Amino acid sequence: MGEGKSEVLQGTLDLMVLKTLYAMGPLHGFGIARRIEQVSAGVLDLNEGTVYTALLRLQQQGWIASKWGTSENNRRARFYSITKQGAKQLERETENWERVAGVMERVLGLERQG
Amino acid sequence: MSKIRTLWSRVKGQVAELRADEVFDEEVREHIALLEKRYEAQGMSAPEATRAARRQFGNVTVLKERQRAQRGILSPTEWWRDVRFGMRMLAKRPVSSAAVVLALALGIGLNSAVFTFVNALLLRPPQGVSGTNKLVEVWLHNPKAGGVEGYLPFNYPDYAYYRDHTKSLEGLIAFDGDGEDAIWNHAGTGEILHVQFASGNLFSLLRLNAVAGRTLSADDDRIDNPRQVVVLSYPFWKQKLGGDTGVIGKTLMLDGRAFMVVGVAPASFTGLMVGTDPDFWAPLTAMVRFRPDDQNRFTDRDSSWLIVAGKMRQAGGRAFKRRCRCWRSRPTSSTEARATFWTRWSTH
Repeated sequence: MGEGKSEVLQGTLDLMVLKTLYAMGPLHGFGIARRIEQVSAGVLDLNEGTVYTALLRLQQQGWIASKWGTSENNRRARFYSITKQGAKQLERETENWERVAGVMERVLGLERQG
Repeated sequence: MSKIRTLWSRVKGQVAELRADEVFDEEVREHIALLEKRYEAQGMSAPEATRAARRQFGNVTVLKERQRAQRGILSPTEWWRDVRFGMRMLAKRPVSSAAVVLALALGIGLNSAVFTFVNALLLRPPQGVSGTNKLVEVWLHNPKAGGVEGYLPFNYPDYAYYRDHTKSLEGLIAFDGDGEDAIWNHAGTGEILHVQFASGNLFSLLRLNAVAGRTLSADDDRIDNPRQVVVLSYPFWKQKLGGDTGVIGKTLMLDGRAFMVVGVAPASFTGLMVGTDPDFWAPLTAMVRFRPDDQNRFTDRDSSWLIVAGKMRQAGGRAFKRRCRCWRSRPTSSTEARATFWTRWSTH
């Protein structure tokens, strides 16, 4: 891992993928990886293959759906899009994330006592 | 029945998994190709771009394993266990459920692709045997049942009839699709061995000669006088008996019964079914000694437990079809399964 890069936290990739699809509309795996790379401005060290594990998980939950389309290379590629259930889940997860992040912030902000 | 349903869904899942694997391969290839293109656009040489793309993507093999685990794909062992379960059901249950279970065990689909699938998974061309292009699988077929559910493994009476009356085939081999475990008592200890009960003509039809002693013969396998003899597999003979030719003519205590070792199979031969790798072969009819409580499987036409393979006199598709028709003429059993279905033995 390069300096100044962070590993993707377990579980957060799913949320990132879900949000990306929510914001961008249908994308293929490559497109999702690009978008995350762009947004993270190179801070995240992402093995792009793991995007597909996240996609599979999300699909198994029914939060995203996929269908075949054509890539920039003019070849067959699977495009993923968020489902209604997925949008609801995203809402829940976002709230949850904010709550956890808030707690983390407070915990990490604790001053040394005594 | 719930176990059957579970099995069914797992079999379906397995077929879907094979496809999912291919689809995933395609996705990964395309993703890496797009990464390469991007790196090349940034000025890298083609090999550099390839390396960078692979690094960026991560370990494909590891990822694939993870995907499989995530999808809950069965390992070959688990898959085989399911199939064995299906086969055991076939041996025990009347045809109504046997047909269903066979459909499960065979996979899904309604055409010969099913059999190709089964071939790839279960049946393999025997190693070190010539003339495999003359081997065909034979199934009982009930034309009234739809699709794959109409195809059944053989029951013993029908197998015996076809074996003795076929003119167009050089011979008909049968073996227990499930296989059996037997406890080998020796030197005060017991060990579980896998036995495959096979028709007496198995070795001769496949032109397999014993490495030591002799192989099974049709005489060993007579229903009126089954002989308690065994042919050892080469690995068993080497590993457990030190490759000692002195064991020929000696007896092994199997499930407390004495079986005489008559020979050792060639090293390359491990049976006709993936995953069984028997330690030894015994005559089909010697099953009576092993499973005295299950004797009706030799008289019951509803007991479908035999995988049957035929050997054509000459390889060739046309002759194959003609024979298929003439075999349809005999009603085989009370089950209305009256015809046979032939397909070529897998050659891959």
